[in-house]
Amino acid sequence: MTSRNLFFKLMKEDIKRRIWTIALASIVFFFSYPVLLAIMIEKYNSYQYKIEHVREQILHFVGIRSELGVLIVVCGAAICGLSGFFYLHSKKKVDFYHSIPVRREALFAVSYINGLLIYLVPYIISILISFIILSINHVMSGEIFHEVLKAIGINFLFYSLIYTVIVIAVMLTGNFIISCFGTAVLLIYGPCVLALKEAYFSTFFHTYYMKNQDMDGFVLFLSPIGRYIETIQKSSSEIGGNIVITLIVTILLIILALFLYTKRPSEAAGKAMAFSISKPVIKIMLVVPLTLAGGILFREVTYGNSQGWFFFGLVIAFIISYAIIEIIYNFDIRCAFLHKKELLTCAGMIAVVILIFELDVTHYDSYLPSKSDIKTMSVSVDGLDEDIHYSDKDTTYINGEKYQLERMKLTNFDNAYDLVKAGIKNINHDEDGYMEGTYGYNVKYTLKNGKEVYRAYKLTSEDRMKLIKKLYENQEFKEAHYPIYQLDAEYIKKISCYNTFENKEFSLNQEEKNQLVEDYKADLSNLTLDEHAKNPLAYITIRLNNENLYDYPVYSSFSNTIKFLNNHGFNATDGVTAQVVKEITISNNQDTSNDNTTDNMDGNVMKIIDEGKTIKYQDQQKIRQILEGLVEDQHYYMNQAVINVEDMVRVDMVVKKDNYGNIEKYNCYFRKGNIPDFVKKDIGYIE
Amino acid sequence: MIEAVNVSKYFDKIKAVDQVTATIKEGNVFGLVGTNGAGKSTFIRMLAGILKPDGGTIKIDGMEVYENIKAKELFYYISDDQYFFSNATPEELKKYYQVIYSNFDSDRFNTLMKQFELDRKRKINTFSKGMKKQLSVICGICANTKYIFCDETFDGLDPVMRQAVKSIFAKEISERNMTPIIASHNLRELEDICDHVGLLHKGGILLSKDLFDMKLSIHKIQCVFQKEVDIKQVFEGIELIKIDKRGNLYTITARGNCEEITKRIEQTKPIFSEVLPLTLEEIFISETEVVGYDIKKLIL
Repeated sequence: MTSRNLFFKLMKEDIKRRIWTIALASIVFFFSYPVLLAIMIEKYNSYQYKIEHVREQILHFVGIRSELGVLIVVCGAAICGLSGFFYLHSKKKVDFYHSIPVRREALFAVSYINGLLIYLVPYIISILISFIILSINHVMSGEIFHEVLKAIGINFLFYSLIYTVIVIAVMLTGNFIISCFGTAVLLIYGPCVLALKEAYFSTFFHTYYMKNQDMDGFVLFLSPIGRYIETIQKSSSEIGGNIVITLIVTILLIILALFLYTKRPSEAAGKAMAFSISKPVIKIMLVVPLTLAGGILFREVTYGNSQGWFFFGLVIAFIISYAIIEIIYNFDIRCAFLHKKELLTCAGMIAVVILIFELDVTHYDSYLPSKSDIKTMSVSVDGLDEDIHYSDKDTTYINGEKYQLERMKLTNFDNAYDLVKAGIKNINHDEDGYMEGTYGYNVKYTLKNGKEVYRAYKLTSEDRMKLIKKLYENQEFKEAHYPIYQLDAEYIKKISCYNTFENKEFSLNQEEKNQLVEDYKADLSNLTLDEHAKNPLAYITIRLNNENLYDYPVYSSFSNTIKFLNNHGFNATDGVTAQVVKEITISNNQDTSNDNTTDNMDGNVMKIIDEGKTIKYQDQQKIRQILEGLVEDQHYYMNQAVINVEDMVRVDMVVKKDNYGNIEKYNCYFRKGNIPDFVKKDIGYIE
Repeated sequence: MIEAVNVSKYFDKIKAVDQVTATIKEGNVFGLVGTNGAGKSTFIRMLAGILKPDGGTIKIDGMEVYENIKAKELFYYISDDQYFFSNATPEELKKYYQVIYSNFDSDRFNTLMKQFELDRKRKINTFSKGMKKQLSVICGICANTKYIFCDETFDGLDPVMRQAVKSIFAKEISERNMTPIIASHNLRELEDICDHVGLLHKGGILLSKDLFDMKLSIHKIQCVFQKEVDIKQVFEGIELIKIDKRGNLYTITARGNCEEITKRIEQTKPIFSEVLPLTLEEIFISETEVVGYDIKKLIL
């Protein structure tokens, strides 16, 4: 057992050997905190910013979300991790350290702890100097102090995690360059494999739902840096779980690093890999995903997503990746294809993966659990209320699909089930990718065994309206689809309402706010999809205390809401009527070409496109008839899954806003089959 | 005492040390000789607990050496390419070793540094190869360990320094029974210092014998007989290793009791006879020839 006295003496001696890293850390921290902070404060003082603003800026700068802090953690961990155990790559250094009467555990602990201190001590000293600067300038506050302490704790924790991962990379390898590669692999392997999985699932399976749509999902998977970034982006109340998990993982990794250090053979110095046993494992772990990545890369970048190029990419990537790894292992190009058994194992594993995806061996696309196995279902429909903003606990905006799939729990899921059946039936029609009039929807099955399964389907226009209409009648669907059902009126700061003619901000007490929300929810519950397809009469804008804004459309069927708005001085009864429309211009963009053809320069046959006719209407009688079939383009764009329009006929409408000559221009479409006959005749519409 | 029993070590598929068994007694100077790649360094690195043997055991004073601090406290290892901290001075090195070796003799270190005319404040990386070797030996001596393992330590020392180091070793051996284990590819280097020599070849040990015993058991006699004699008859019962005849002058190398051999020669009433001293090289040539090797091809 190494005595405590000896241990500290060894630490002191080790620190002497690592002066350059200490100097580097001290310089970086000094310039990154006290110096930059002093420059910032001087700048703010010269501009005479409010103290709150200055503190806010400083909080960001020295707090947990400081980008500079993240950069220092990652770079510092890499430098200290690689330099601290760098001696393991030199035979003569290993001979020296492993011949002296000091336990390997003690040698490890000395280097490891010094690596932590090289980061922590200059950091704390710089922060203390920063506090002095802040106090002298009367900017210091309890909040800054608290935030900085939190930042030190979290930064240090993630520094320890990343540093330990890099130390493990050094332990596993016997050469500095290979250690750097190893570090990169350990830090990004998870996200890369997940990205590859996403690429294969989305390429080969038509019903794959890409759950990790944002980059966070990729970065997070098994990546200490990703976990770090995710943690610092979360609010204080949410990071507890991450901290505990990170702490446990870090401790386990330290134990692993120590184990590897004690088991690491001294003769590994200078070799590519320290442990022979890890060589085939690491080779397979690299060759298989690299080959698969090569295949998918060639498939995606070539014209028509060619299968031929896919297999070409697989073969080339397999040969290159296997050869490079063997060459690195042996430092000899002649050993590129050594170990035939491992080569065949890699090839076999790749072949199995390709077959699984090519042949859909797992019946991924046709997966449909029986109704008796399903506890609840969730559905998010593309092209329905795309203008709705969703937020997470009324703080930040989040993805609408994610919101709906997480919160929706359809216990009465017969309609959703029928929707899925139609989607599976439609897969074969959808093989070639995009089909006109096809809209997607995402489904989450929550099974009785607790498993959650996600799928994405597509539906053609024939089935779409019928099935979605039924689903829309389900109150459970609406309550998760429309976030107003989860809105707590207490959080509402202001309510206003606008339409073409008016924009009014209400002065409502809490009771009235509650009343409006309740009225709106009641009306929304009774809304049918047919009514939804009509133009809204007005929009209620709700501003929350956190300044998030939400627009809620008011349809003509919303009697309770309209009554409330009317009672509070906003006329929501009348929409755009023929009386206020000044003129309507209709353009036919249909392909009305005749059979005339001509040869172009290359001799290929080219159609002559007739531009069609454009007609202007000012007659009120005609305008009234036209208005009945119109839908505003914005309303259509946000609800394309449930509104069918004559998209080749464009309607431009000029509305008189008031009696002072102000006008408003609208672009509209005719709902499918709602073009009046006289218009068809006038514009030369072809059925 | 150091005991290596059936020690083997493989580097991937290469057999570096193969079933080596050797016993190193305290107070002896053990010389480990062999060609490059014979396995000397590997064997010494296993003795120093740096490498873990793939087979067999190595015990120092009855303790397994690998990862055993108590055993490691008993020796100081000087590698063929000793590591010194970058930018360190001998003074700093001394402080480090003071931490590591509890009996490190600081005063002796200063004295020897002066004696070898090495500057304690000068950076080690400005030292020549020979000066670094001297510094290693000084550190090894001052560590005051029971054993000192020297891998090609005398290589790079000039003859004066070599003699100086040898005399220091001799003093340490006589004063505190230090046991040096010296690996070298050069037999002549070990001749005047070793008590016991192990010869390694291709990872295996060809022989391991006490030098004194070897010298006692092998004798070289030059003689001129009055008349032609049957040498084999004269030396019946005595193992003749080599007979060389130039004119009437015989040079006979034989294994056996020296008195018995001279008595047999005296019985023939020779014109002249004389027992010549054998060099270590000659002893090795004789010994390895017995086991079927031509040592000239192995070393020298």
